[in-house]
Amino acid sequence: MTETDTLQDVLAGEHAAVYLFAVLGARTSESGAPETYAALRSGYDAHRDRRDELIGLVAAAGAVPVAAATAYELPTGLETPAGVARAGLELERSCARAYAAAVAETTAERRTLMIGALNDAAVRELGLRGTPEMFPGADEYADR
Amino acid sequence: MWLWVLATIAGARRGYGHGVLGRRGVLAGAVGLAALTACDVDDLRPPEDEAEPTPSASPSATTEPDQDVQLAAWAGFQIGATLAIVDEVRRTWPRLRGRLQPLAQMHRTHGEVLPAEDDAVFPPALLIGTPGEALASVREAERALQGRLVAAAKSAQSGALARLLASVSASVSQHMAALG
Repeated sequence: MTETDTLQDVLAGEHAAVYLFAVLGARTSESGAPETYAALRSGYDAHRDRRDELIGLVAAAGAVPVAAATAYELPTGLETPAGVARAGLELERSCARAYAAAVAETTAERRTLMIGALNDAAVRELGLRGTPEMFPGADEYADR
Repeated sequence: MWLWVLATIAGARRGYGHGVLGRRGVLAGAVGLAALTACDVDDLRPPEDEAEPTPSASPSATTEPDQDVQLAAWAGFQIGATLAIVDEVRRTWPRLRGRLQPLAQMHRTHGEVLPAEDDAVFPPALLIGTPGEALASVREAERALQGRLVAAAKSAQSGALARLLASVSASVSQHMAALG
């Protein structure tokens, strides 16, 4: 697996994250659940920026950036604000795991990007009712 | 796979006998765990072809073991030194004890995975001023630690160690954000 393959994997995840954060935001009332809405909006913006950055990196590496899927499977339990926040939190945690894995598979500036993305995702978890973790993106260390 | 060798070497060296890798073989296990989690991104997308990272593609394939052993011990020292500051502030200012407890617990947990060398001596925390100033000192120390962990993750030869250090840096970021 090359570093470009790793970037493509993370890019595929970002495509999904952008789609799903948009869906979650659309199901959230800005006036009824302002904190969750703001966190989802922040997540959407952040993942859209990462996606665009990754597209540029993959293209610069001479590869064709992987395209987004037409649609993605939605999480269940989106009927309540708490359920939407929970789905957003799980999505952010999933992204953190992907970024952490990508840290291991990249070097130099690309690794720097993944470390930054992991840190950002971990902090965004807090806005989605998450609590600080001991090993964001690397849960197995906490389970020792 | 090479980290098993690294762990063996580390365990055999007195200086790291209870340290970086010898205590629980944490980093040795990290290689396999990293491979298991490398496709977490698949959680987010429709089922497609799967791609496992291969040793030849991993940055860990060309590692100089001693370099990473030293890096992990250095990170452990930085964690221990920051914990010493947090503990001193908690001792000096009881009203901050509860608020800083999560930070202290975090550093202790991280220190179990990335221990400093047995004979490490942490510089004493110099505390002057008010509780607010002490809290500012803690924030500054945490910010510095986070930056050092990121730098260590960047320079790690092993992908597994880089991932661990990056995760620990993210934990520090989270705790700082929660501290406010």
